[in-house]
Amino acid sequence: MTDGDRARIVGEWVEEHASLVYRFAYRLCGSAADAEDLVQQAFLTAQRKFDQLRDGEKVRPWLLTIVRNNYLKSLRHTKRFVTFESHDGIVDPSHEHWDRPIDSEELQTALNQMPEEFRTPVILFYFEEMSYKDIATHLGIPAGTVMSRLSRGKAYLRQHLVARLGEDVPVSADH
Amino acid sequence: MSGAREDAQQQSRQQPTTDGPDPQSLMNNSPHNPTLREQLDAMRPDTDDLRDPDVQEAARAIVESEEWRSVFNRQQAFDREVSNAMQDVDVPNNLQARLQNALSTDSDASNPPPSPLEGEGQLRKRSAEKQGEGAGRVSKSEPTPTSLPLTLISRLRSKSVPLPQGERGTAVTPPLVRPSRRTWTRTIIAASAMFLVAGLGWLFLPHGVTTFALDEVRQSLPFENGGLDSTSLTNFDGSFDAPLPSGPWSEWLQSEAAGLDLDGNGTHDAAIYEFAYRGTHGYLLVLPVSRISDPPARTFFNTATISYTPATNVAWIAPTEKVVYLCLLDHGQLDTLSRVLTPAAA
Repeated sequence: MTDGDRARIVGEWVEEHASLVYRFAYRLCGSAADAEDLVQQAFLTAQRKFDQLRDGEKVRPWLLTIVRNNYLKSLRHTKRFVTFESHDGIVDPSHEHWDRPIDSEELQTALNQMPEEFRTPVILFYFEEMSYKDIATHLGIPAGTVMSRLSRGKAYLRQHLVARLGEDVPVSADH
Repeated sequence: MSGAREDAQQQSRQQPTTDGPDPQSLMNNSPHNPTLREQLDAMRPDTDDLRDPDVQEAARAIVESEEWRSVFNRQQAFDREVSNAMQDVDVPNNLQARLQNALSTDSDASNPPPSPLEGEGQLRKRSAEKQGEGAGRVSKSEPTPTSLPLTLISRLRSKSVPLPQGERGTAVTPPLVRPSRRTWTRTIIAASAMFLVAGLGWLFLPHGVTTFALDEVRQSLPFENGGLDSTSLTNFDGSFDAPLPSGPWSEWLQSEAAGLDLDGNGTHDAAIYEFAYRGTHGYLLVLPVSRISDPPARTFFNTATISYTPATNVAWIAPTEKVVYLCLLDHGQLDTLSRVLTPAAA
């Protein structure tokens, strides 16, 4: 395959996947500028390492993996130390019944406040709609760990969204 | 929302039949049971996740308990809303155009530049084509400069003969300047001095291999998000003998050995084995003792030497004192391994 063929194919990937990859990057990092950098870096990496992709059907997960890895590498330099309450410390308002859309920005605020080890599984669960077992494979951690982190992450989301939206977004008690 | 509830109930009805309620699970069927909550939270809306054999405790609870069914339905409704909101991100205008531009620039930069002679040929070719297009004087049958053999072009250059160009008197080859005897002398003296300095430097610089403190090794591991970033690892290149420690390690291994290049010289300085045993999961690093500046004193796995960066880990040296082992756990307890590996406990 010639360089021209590769460039054409990667160009097609941009047309097909750029928006989705950007949304994923934005949800991970919470910043439009950083997300765009991550997306650009991902496509550049894809172009340079074109031959590493053996299955053409897996372009999308490959690009998302590159974004995630680059994001984690950037985090390594910033060394954010975020504490997260134990499961018991989270008051999970799961008795509330959601009956209206969740605000995108409020969701991002909650994600930004979530420690990385919880945020990535939550984003893969909701954004990529991956099963907990697929997330475990993807992240290289045990499935039980993913289950636990998902549960705590989701409980935090529920708590945050109820607390932040409060009376603005009526959440009706089911019983 | 009623539709969502119906979906959840339909999912509930898809449950595999069970032989009846397990008394123990019913005892735990409180909405505060963390295991059931985790299982429920792992279920994606509108999928057949409830058929997963690993979440049957939660599946049974949904079937048997109205309270759990209600919790499940609310969670699924919440999950649908979050999934929708997750995709609701404005994409910048011209993102695709900027990406295409960046890719194009990167592609140009990554293409190796032509060799000087080739480059000259291409430039000449372009020049000739331009002239041909402009003046119509270069026919296809006429030999252009680029159609000349490279040897001929070289010979022409060496004789300082002006190559054919568009206009007379615009030769590209600079006039040949013969260096003077003084210049030769200076060049020889400078070269001799450089060789002398380089030789002395080689003599006085230390030639030993780079060594690392164990803490440096721990810090340099691509340990991210609870585990090693496997994408940055390649298969171990076998650059040193990396035997497993005594004990049932070979039974616990999950994969072939990967390698880690710590000093960036292109060869692996550590072999990494992924292992799992009774709820524990982690990585065993094997490093040549000659590369470790502070090898541990103990010759067996012992949790008395525990460290917690970047994950719970224990280091020890092989009785042969040829390799150092570093065992990192990202899941489970070291005590589980200790019961098997520590001599006193075994």
